[in-house]
Amino acid sequence: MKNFTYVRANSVQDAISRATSDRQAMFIAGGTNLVDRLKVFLDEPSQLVDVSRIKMKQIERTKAGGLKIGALVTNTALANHLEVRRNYPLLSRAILAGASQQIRNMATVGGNLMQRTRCPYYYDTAFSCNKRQPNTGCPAATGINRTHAILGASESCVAVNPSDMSVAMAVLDAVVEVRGMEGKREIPLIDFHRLPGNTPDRDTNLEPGELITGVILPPLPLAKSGVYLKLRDRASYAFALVSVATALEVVGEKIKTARVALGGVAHKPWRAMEAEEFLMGKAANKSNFERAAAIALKNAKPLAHNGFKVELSKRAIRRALTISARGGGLV
Amino acid sequence: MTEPEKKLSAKQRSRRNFLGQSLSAAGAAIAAPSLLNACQNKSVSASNALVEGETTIELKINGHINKLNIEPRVTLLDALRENLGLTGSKKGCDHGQCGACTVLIDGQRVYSCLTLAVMQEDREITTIEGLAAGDNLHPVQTAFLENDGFQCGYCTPGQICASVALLEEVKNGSVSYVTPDLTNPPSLASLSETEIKERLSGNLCRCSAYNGIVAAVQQAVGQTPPSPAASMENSHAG
Amino acid sequence: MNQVIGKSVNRKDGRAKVTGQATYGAEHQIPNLVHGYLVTATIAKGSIRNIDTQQAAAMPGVLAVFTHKNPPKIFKPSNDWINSKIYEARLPLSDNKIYYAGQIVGLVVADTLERARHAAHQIEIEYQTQPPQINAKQANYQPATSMFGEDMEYKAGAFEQGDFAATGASATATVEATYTTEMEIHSPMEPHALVAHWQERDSVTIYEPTQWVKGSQRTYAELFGIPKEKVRIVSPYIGGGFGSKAFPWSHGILCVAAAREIKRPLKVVVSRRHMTANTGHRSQTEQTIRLAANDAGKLTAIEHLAKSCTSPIDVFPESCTGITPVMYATPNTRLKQEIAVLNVGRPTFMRAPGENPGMFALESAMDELAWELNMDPVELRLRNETKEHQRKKLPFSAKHFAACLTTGAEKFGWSQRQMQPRAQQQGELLVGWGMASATFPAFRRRASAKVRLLTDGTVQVLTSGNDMGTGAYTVIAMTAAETLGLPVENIRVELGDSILPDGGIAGGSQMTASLTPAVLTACQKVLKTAQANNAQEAVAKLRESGRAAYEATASSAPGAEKKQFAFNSWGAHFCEVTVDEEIARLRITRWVSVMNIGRVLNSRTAASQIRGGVIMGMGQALMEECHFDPNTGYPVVYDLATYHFPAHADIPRIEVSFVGEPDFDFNPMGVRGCGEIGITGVAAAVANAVYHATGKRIRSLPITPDKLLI
Ligand SMILES: Cc1cc2nc3c(=O)[nH]c(=O)nc-3n(C[C@H](O)[C@H](O)[C@H](O)COP(=O)(O)OP(=O)(O)OC[C@H]3O[C@@H](n4cnc5c(N)ncnc54)[C@H](O)[C@@H]3O)c2cc1C
Ligand code: FES
Ligand code: FES
Repeated sequence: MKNFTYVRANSVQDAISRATSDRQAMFIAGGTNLVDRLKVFLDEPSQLVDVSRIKMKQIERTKAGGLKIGALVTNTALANHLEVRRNYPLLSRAILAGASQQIRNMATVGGNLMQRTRCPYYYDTAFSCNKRQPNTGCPAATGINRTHAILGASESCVAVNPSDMSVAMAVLDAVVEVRGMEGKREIPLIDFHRLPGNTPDRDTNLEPGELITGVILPPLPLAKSGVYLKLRDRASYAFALVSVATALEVVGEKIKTARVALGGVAHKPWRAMEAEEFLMGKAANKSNFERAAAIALKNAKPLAHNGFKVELSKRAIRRALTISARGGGLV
Repeated sequence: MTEPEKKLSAKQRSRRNFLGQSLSAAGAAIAAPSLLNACQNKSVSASNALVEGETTIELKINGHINKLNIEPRVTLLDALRENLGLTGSKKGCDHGQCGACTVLIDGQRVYSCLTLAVMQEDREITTIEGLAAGDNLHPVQTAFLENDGFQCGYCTPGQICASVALLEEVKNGSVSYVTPDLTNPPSLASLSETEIKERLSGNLCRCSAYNGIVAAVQQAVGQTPPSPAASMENSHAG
Repeated sequence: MNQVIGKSVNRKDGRAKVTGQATYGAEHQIPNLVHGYLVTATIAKGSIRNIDTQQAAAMPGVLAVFTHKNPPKIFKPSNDWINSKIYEARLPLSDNKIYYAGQIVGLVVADTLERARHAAHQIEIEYQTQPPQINAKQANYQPATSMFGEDMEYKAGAFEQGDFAATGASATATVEATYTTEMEIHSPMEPHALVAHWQERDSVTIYEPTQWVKGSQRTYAELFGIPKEKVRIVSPYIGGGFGSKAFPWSHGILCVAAAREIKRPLKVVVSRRHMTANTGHRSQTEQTIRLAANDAGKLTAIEHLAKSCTSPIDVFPESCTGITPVMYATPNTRLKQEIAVLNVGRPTFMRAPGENPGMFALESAMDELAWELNMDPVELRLRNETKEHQRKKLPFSAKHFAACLTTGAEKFGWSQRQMQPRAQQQGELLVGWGMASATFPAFRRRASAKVRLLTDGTVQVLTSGNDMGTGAYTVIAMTAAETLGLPVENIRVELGDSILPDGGIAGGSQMTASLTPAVLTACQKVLKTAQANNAQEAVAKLRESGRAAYEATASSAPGAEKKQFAFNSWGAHFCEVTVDEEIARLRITRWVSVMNIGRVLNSRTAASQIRGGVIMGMGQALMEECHFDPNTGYPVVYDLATYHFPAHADIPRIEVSFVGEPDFDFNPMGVRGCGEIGITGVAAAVANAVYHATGKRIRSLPITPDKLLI
């Protein structure tokens, strides 16, 4: 870790102006991702702007009947919030599926959205990596890529986004609220993260100097049927090989609305819109779930070692939808 | 000098006496290793003069205020271990991947390797050294002892701090990934083994004292754990 | 006698460990200490063309930078297992050659850890790169020879008895299959770390976790050309080793050497990342087994061919075939062991080296044979038990393997098992039951201890042997308490210091078996000196005499018994798994292990040792594997987020029982040791249960979700 100067921002404005005037500055919130990265020289900021003491720790009800979540709400606080547990159980479950209690106690909503990939090639400067240093190559594409992307990858990057929380937020139509010198912007969560294309160094559409101030969840009754299923190599404290968030609104025999998103398979939380559309108006049964899963994965392009993720994703979708059709719960 | 440092040096002294005595009694002379006056001196970086790149901070640890000059890049864990001689918090991975460095900040468990010391001013930091009240062990410490919740002991301070926090979390109605109904969190009495295991999974133990640790938590929450001993189907007393 | 032996007793070192007062290698507080950080190779084969340390050396706080261009002085040790032993035969920084990624190529010393780490990162290295050999499947295998002393001779490369070729045709059932295991790393929770403190140019104290204190002392003495009395090793606590902390590694040698040059106490902690590459691993293995049996289920032939890999800088075969002539009786045996060189760090002993992968293959194959014969796998094993070591031609002493099988079956409820795959279901889950045998040889070497009885009725037991979590502190105290007739609380045990009598090595599951007989004899000698029958009488006499203490030192060593018997411990594992087939989710839900390890000194710490082994075996079965980038040879599994071993959530309750009797033919305490046997057979039991659950035979570990999908 390179040394840096450390300042404690006392307001949103203070944080933004510091980050704007020093382009080498970085925000730090919970520190669980950034400190880790600093130690292995993935980032070498001149200045750390500690935003953790800014008052963005509230969870409030919005006029529309949804929730507004401050960017500094910890993962633990969000997962345990009564309204979230009641109305967005898949969000609680997704957060609780991530990392460990200690990390969730430290980790914030803003930091979780901004955490970077766990690709082992990115994570060690012994390797070249387009995400770390543009135009140096992607050794993962021809290397060991069991945990890498099967959807939306490019020649320049096959890394996946590791966040569980974001996958749940993707199906909940969450909106990310950000502030910069130019003022406030709202970015739908599914547009917040980017596909790698030939700029894999950029994970998100956040502009330099901009600070995430919160996330807005619209009211979404079908979220009560939400399921978050995470499949991994270890029963806990491991990143997803594949994860799925689903929710269904079934009226009578027919599906009125469906939500499906995948985690661990792409450079961003992967909302499977086409599969959702397919399910609309269909009977909530196994064969339709199977077909929806096939649609969701039809453009999958597996690499040498991660072909299994295609099948595993399909089965996870099938299972999660089945549970959602029963009203949700633990898988 | 902070309280825990005094304890450390007392312990080091007793080791010296023990060995010294034994060997002189055995008639062998040993060169006294400098270990002996170890704790009278502070390590280099905690000296009084401010070096370029350092800042002065105050950390409240186990009820004592500690003033130290450190670079902002120093993690809380390294400040504890390298600057303050509080080596009870362990470094297993330095990357948030093992739990050995778990401490309590304002009562919440965190990994001290993933936070910077400068970020923790004005917080109440509790480490393993601060759990017992004098000679009286914290009930969780006793439970670990009685249920063989450790072998090499290296992950143990982290496991214990995590377990202490776990009890509070359950009392406060927190849920976990395996809680079947998220609107109905378990109580101390109904806390299942599956719940305990999920909630402690952020603390790895390579010796794999996992059964004993879970039993220790069961004892601490007032349940009756299984015996840590093997069943003996033979006449071993021989 | 107060009959404490065999009881469940709190650990003597427990209080220190639960209060954070136990001090591990890098935690000793030394004034004036400075920090070293390793620089390691990012290529796997080639050489250093240029190494630029200028910028690093000029950074604030940096005191020294060592590379192959200015290596600190190190002497070549005899490295013969007797006088000295180092892990890597090549000394650190001895030239500019690179043999594996992660190899140490420099050491930066600075006043703080942060500064040393930063400066290490600033060192620029230009390499001349050659394509590394990293693929075990494409490697060039040669016959492996035994590399150990007489004790372990049975592990040697090739062996044949009977007429193997003639048997195949007449068999009722045969199995031929190839099993693979992946590279695993020890991953003790305490990283490799040490503090070296030179008092003068020829006298040093080294605070380092080591499983072999006296060996380490002799080795460092040779490395630095000083008498061994001038080296003091202090290692009261070890945060796990599992075979990876037995001898000095290159980082340790370099730390001690550098400390001498800079004339400051120096601490080097190997980062978790560096550790995965340069402090040992268990090689991947490929094993082909052929079994033939007649219709009574009697084995008529076993062939076991094993391949493992080693490093260019040293040789270490994973001796999988050692267990084969031990486990089952058969007239025809053929064993062969091969080895190939990869551009990886040095493999080494890892909990049950050889026995563990060997038993995965053999016990999987036995299960396959049982299905072939349509016979219960417990029954198959009972029918093939051997009373003698098939190679040494010696009878096993105090063997109760059959009792392990039958007791385990009963405790588990094995008789309820349905004799066909996929027959047991629980809702969406397939339920499978599996079992496998366990074995590990009983080793023992000379060890000594000093016992001192004081006027206040307390006792000190002093020895250089150590406790890396095995329970040695406790069983040594219990042995003294039992022999002297005192409460365990009165016994104070001091371990892990080279100024104490030679306590032997905490490895090969032999510490307890080697050391407790010495403690027993020393206690008896104390009583004899006092001319007393028990400690109470002795203390009374002591007080009268005006002396400070009665003390005695005693040694105990193996003798002629090795010519009369073969010594092994035995066991059986029974387990239940559930498989959620649709989503490829495998869980181990129930476990029973029954072990026969001679006398059990402490039923609690012994149970913990077995559980520890079983859980490490579960890790091997379910998730542990290392991989290297095929192009550069650099590891892509290099920390505890990429190298998974079990967390709490993976582990069910493990019920441990002991059967049998003290093995007094082995030593006067009747104990055989239990550090390693627990892991043997575990992965096979899991794979066998997975087969029972799903009908899928998985022959390559670990059984990750991708393998369950196929
Ligand atoms: C061992 C381990 C296992 C983990 N497992 C999982 C897992 O299974 N699932 C999962 O989802 N996550 C997992 N995580 C990641 C964890 O969830 C993230 O590290 C955490 O959410 C980041 O939050 P933070 O507040 O600590 O962020 P920080 O580390 O403080 O910051 C992360 C990044 O976000 C930026 N940032 C922070 N706040 C803001 C803001 N308000 N506006 C703009 N930028 C901001 C920072 O500049 C930095 O670049 C794991 C982490 C570890 C170490
Ligand atoms: S040392 Fe902090 S989690 Fe491992
Ligand atoms: S007790 Fe050794 S790692 Fe847990």
